[in-house]
Amino acid sequence: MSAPGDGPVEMPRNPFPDDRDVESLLAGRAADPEWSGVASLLQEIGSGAAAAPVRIGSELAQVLALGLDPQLGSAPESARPAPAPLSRRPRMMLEALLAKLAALGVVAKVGVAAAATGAVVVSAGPAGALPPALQDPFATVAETVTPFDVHDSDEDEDVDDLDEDVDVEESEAPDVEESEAPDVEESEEPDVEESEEPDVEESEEPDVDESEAPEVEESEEPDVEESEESVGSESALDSDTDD
Amino acid sequence: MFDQVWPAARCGEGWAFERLFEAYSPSVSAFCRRQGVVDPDGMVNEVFLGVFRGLGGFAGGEADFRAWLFTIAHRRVVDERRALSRRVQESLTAEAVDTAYDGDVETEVLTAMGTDRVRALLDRLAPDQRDVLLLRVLGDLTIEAVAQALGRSVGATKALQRRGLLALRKIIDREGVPL
Repeated sequence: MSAPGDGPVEMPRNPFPDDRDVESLLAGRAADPEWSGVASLLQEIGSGAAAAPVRIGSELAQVLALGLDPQLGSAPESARPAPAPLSRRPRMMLEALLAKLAALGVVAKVGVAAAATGAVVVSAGPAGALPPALQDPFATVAETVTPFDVHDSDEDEDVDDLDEDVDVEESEAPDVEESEAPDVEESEEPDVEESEEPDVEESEEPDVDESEAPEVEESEEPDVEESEESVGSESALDSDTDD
Repeated sequence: MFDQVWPAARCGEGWAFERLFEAYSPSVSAFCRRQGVVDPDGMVNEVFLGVFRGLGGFAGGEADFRAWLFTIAHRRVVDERRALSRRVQESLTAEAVDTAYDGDVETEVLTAMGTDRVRALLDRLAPDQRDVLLLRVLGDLTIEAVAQALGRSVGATKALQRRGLLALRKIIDREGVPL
């Protein structure tokens, strides 16, 4: 039995293919001729995959040729240029410097040599590290040009002389003695005397002398000794005074 | 091929990379060209370098590898698309230059013309519709894999595919088959 009007009804045509036909369409085959144009277009798109070769860059070419370290994702150690070790770098810098120096003209070379010599002399001179033949002229020149008293070879002898000739001048150059014979009163007295006696020559030179190299060495280490020994020396002094 | 090459590729062997590159670079290159990438070869190089460096963290079969490969390629395309949207795009000129390879001049011209016509047709699609169709055709990805690559649901991806195909049919019906 069929109701009236149940005859073969023309279903509305589905304008879009089902999933299976879509897969065929994407592969370039159209089940429905109305989709043939789309099918041929998609086939043309798919054929483009076989068209042009790819130009390979240098980085990818290296990876394809040598592979990668699977842990690091980088080229294996043997494939990478080893970085220069640290010890080689100063040598490389020196070589580069020498190459630049070799490329300079004669006048420039003389200038560089003079500057280097001057730098050595200026740095070693105040420390008294030059040979006596150079130290004394350096001290003369430096004392003339600058207000500083530069260490020279005579001062060592002077200090020895002062050690022997303990007299009124003891307060001016007593540093060596102070360290050897720590006397609290003596170490304080020279400062008072220096400030009270307005002698320009004496107040300037010893002051600089004390503030410069000789004083630094003597004021750092012996001071500790002084403070350590001063306890004993004070007691000894007390015992002396008591006596 | 994939099953033989894959273990060696995971060990970082260069010859295995070469096999993978030979097998998959043409389709990745075509994907980039059809997407209008300015420097398709450069992008293919970048995609494969990224894939080879990331192989250690990948697990799966050939279909998974293909999906992963085209996901990376698609991301690169999207990145470039975003960058180009801020600048004046002259990709058609770049495409014509990039396809000029050694060979028969007539073939090159016809190829370029065909490429340009196909490209012009694809350019009339919405970008996400084009993405779906190209990933399905050139990447040979399933609708699920495309959905994963695009970060969309399967239903939404199917809808994009449907709308893209309908749009192509409308254009072709109106203007004739391009080739």
